[in-house]
Amino acid sequence: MPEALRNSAWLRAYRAALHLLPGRVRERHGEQMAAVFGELLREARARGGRFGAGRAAMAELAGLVRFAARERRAEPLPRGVDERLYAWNPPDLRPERKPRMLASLSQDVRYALRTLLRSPGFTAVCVATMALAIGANTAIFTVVDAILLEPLPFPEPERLVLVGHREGDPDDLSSTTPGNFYDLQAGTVGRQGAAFQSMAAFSSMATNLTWRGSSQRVTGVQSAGSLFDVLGREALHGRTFRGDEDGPGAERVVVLSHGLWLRLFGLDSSAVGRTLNLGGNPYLVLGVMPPGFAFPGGEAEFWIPARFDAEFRANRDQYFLIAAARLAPGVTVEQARAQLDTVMDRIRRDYPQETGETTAGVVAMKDLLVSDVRARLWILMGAVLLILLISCANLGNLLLARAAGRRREIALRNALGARPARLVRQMLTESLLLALAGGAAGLLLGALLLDGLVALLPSDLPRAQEIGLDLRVLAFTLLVSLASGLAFGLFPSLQLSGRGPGDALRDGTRGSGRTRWARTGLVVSELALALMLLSGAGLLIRSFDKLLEVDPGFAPGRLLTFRVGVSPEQYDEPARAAFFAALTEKLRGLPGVKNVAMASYLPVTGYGSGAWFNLVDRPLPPNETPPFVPYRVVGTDYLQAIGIPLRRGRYFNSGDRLDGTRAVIVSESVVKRFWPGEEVLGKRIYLGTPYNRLFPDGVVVGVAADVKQDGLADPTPETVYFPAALMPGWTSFSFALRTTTLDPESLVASAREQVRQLDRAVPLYQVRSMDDLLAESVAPARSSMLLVGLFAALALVLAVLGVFGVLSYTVAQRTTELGIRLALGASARSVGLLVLGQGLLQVLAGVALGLAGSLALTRFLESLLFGVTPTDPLTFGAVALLLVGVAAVASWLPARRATRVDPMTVLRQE
Amino acid sequence: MPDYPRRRSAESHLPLTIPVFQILLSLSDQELHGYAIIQDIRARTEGEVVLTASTLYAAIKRLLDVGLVEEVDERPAPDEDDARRRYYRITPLGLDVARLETARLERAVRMARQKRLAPRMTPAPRKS
Repeated sequence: MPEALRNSAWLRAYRAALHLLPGRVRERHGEQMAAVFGELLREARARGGRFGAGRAAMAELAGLVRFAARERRAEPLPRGVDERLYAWNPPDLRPERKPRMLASLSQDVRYALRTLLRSPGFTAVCVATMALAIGANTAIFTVVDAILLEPLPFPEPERLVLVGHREGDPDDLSSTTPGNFYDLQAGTVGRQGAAFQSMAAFSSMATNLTWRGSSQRVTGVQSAGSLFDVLGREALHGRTFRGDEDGPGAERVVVLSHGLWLRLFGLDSSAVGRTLNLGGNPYLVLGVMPPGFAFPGGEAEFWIPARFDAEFRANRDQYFLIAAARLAPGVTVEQARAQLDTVMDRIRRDYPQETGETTAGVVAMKDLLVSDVRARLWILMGAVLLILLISCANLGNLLLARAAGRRREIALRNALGARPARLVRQMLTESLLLALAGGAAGLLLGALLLDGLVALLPSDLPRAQEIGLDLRVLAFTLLVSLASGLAFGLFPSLQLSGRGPGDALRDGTRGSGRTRWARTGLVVSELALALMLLSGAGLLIRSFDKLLEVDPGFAPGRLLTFRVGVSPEQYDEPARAAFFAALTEKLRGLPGVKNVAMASYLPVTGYGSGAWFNLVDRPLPPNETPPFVPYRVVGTDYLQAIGIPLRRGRYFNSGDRLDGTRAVIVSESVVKRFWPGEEVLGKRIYLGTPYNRLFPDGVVVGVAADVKQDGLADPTPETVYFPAALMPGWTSFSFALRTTTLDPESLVASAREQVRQLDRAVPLYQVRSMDDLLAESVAPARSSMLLVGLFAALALVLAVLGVFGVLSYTVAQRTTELGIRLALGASARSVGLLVLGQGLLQVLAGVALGLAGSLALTRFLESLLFGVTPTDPLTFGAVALLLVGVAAVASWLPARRATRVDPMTVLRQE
Repeated sequence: MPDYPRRRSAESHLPLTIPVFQILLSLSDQELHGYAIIQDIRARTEGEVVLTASTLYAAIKRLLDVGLVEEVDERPAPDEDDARRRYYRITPLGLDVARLETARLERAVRMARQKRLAPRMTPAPRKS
């Protein structure tokens, strides 16, 4: 064969196409076919040139494809049988072989698609309903998965734990002191049989960062020992600091978060090695962490070694450290706890005065990080699953109604010998297609809704940076779609294919009793589920309402708040006091400012410090630990400016100093706890340990009203107030300016200017109006209420649509019967009431079932409720009434249609 | 000839398709390879029947399967031979079948003549 032809592309194509043939045929005849093809091509080219060759080649290829198709369609032979035997059996005499699974499945799918596309309206409604329900589920699951289910983004995250002191709640940890930490570390790390492989302590801190002349306040972490060794993460640029770089004489180094690095240096990797100013001291940038690294939370922007000196390492009265530790291989949390207990026993024996009854605690790291939001998130997941169930019930009803309309077709096919299993499979295919289409649309919807959802959730959501669509979410959506399709498809298809052909071939008017019960059952379940969601939403709404009614204990209106902090290295104690005194004066002089309140921490924020509270005239026995009471370091006018009423005695004045009257003011609950029924003015107290007091004995000069120092829902703590003059070393304060204008934030610029006039390097941060602060404190409750409320509204709409749909359908089915009734003399009203009554019966059944369900399930809401019991009768009653009312309205329309039936038309049709 | 476990009667193969009949005709008096069969048929039918490679081999495959045609073991002289070409020859059964098909076609034409459907045997008039 000539070279040109052998290389012809046509020949190559033909040879490739030969692979379409079954292997046997190709082996036997392939070469000859290619050879013949080559000759025919040469002929054709000689006769007709390039076009002739092309035409001939196409014809040959087409023929080959047909040949291959015929050969492949022919039943494949079972193994081991001699082909020659079968060669003698003509095709029509060969034994029947089952058609391949794949062929009939694709047939089902094609048929289902055709059927669904024939009724586009119906299909659209179904897909939209599913998309909404699945979209909501996908969005919530994305959040739940990222925060609660996914392991922490560290190597072997299940071995990471947090160590501290046990408070009361076994899952809660309180901080420890440096002395206790180093002892615990020595006793449980590194040696043979140690429970932990590594341990480091950390505490959050905030300081001023100065870079290129501008200052900002940044939050970060100081670490005793190396946190990065425990966590097991490397730096993106540069390196992290090791445990042995934590000595008091060690160089000051800092590791930056990716976000901070971006803000300060852009993407410049030569940032490593440069020097930043933190809190007045130069720090060498050692490394930059990769994006997504956040410990303990997203707000930490830097990590520095703590560099405690020898004296501070032995401190046992400053409780501010939490330890992060990695369990040694094979060690369980229980075993670790036991070892910690042993060491803690020894510490208690050696330092009875300082340690008292404190015990050690260890909790899995992930559990503690997410413990606040766990309940809330699972409740949201539960709510959204209820919506899915309701949607499935709705769709089940829709499919039942539609399938009932195809009764004759189905019965005919039954009579002609179609196997019921095949029919069920076909109808299931339809519902699965609907569910998958809804799932795909829902996935898109969920992705779109995700940002909105996260915005509705509280801003301090842990692990929020890890939220995003991933393979697990896709798998979840697929699973949910398939399950839904099966759920709402199996039920109607089984219902219908199980009937005898005789039933439906006859022209029935009512439809089989079984179908009717099925539809009623579905509607009643929908109503019950909707009621359960409504109860939950109702409880959360009432709870939120109660929360807003809580008196915070001070006057929150028209208050601008912010924090100012100076670096301890640049300001010695007198300088600090002078700075804040000067600032208070400058702020007071601003136009629009009525008064200035200064305090170590403001109310409602949940931040604060505390100390051991000691009564001078009632010293405790040596082994007993004094009670821990929160305190606030305040400016002289604080209580007046912020609006805390005075119950007894007097406010602070300028004579209250270290070398004057060491005055303290206590809150009402302090009096109730320590001096019930006694005269409290004049009593002497001190804070701290006997040999390490915050200040020498103070005297109680006044009693202030209780204030919500933590959140509005939290119990009111006791508080001790004393003037800043008694503790001049305090480095940062919160300010609250009582303004005359309605918009406190309009004064921010002037306030900032006053600070800048005193020291350009001192930033003003955490600027918010007090109203905003209050709003933030109730944000979690608000978000739960909004989301569950949204779901409940959706559920209500779906359930009511279900009621409406079933009743309309029933009326349409019973037109004949109703017409006859009317013809026989029944009043239109009685016919209407008949239908309405049927509807109301369904609603009442649903409400009863729903109430039972609510009573059982709402106790899971308990941790989210405030001032309302989970079985609050008022809420349940209101919600039930709402559902009955709305459903009654939905039933009215079909009932009215029933009264309009024209008996003459109906009789004529008969 | 290979020994087949069961023999179908020659009549059971009728009627034959056009390609199959033509192939049997081609092989009735000689042994040919695939391409030659195509050329032979084309020449004999004056272009009326032109087989594609697939049609040819589909037919040949069936003919081989039912034993009307067999592959030739002996090869022609080396200089005429192309190693890829396989030669085929008709079997006695194949001959029987071809004869039976011819008889069937004849009967059909006779029936058509009785109904005055057959074309006239006289030559077409010349144009003057």
